[in-house]
Amino acid sequence: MSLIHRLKPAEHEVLLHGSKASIKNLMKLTFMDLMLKNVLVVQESVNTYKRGRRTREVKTKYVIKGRNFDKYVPSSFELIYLTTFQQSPGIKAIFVKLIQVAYEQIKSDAKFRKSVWRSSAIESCFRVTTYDWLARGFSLTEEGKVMRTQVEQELKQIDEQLANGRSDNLHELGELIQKIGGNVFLLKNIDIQQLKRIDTEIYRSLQERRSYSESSDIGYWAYFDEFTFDYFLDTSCDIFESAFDSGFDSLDTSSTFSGCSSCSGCSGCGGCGGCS
Amino acid sequence: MTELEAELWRKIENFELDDPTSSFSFSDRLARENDWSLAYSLRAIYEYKKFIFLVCIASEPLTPSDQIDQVWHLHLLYTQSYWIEFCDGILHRPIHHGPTKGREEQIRFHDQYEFTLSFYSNTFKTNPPVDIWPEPRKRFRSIHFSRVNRQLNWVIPKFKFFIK
Repeated sequence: MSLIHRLKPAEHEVLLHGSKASIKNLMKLTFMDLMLKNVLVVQESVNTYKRGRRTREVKTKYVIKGRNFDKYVPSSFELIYLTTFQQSPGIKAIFVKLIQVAYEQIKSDAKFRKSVWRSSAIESCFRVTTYDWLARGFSLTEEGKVMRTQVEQELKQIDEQLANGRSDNLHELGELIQKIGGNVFLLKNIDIQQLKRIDTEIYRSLQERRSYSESSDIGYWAYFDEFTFDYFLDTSCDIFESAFDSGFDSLDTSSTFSGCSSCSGCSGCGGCGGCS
Repeated sequence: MTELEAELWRKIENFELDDPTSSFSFSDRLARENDWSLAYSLRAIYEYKKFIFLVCIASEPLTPSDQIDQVWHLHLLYTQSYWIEFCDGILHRPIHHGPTKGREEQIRFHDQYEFTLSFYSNTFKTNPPVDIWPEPRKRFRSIHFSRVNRQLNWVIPKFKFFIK
């Protein structure tokens, strides 16, 4: 497990796919990793609005700062999600709005990929030749090629272990998953129900030992409270992904709306005199 | 903050101006009409909620920054949301917007704005962000806005040297 636990999921994605790494995947993996680390938390709430005698209920997913936000040292590419909370710590952002905000901060696909591989863990794996510069891409160095092969093998090995994993090896599997953290979402054979059983096992053994501390290294699973983790797992593969995808896919159309249908605007005022 | 005030702040904080099902929501419109980033718009909305909360608990009139004022203006246009869902449903009182009557009120609003900033700090135990709550000297200086059709006009910023 020499490499895989050291890299963040987006770094893995760029290492594996280079200039072809999809921005959507990079954004999705980054967000999921931040959630797993409890740097950001997704909550769902139901807001009730009254209009006369009618009551309207709106179920909304919000993102807020997590328990580990203040002590987490982010990589530059993670700031697309974190800057808003750094500037307004108490803010609650609607999930799809946060995706829009994050995407808005990406100046270009090429620059974002570059910000990922420029992170300290894999910078030596890439270079920009003249041809790359013209094509707005980058290439792997020899070190990068070795690292990519190693990561591919490690992921394949873990995939096979999960595929062959039995329920009585939950603890072993749990340790394996703990080491790779957010990179779990790069695995092909990930089974959400199996993950839930693994996490329950880890949580149970941690409760028995009572040995984990909130001031220790930011782990993943140890910091989940049951609601957040179960919610995340229930949403991560189906509803979360489709919510993320629909939020991301709507980005192209939201900026082309040209006006509103029912008001002609107002002429504004010369300033506000306050109120009482 | 008293318990009642904390409860009121919680309700205001949780009040949603954006319709999550809408493809062009309140914050999208706010960003577009003010040429703000969406991130800035969301923060401005959050600060607007804080301002309204302060209005509810203050014993004196308060003056917002221009940025907060823009959020407020736009919210007033969403009449159902503002008057029914917000003022009636959450605040249980009307909050009226009072545009300035002119130059003769300048000193009064300057003083009110200064008071609003210190009231914010005392209430929330943190200083208001200066990019949304500029210092009083700047607040009333750069507010000569016009509505411009960007399809027919280019908008070119002035060099700082020319800004008074």
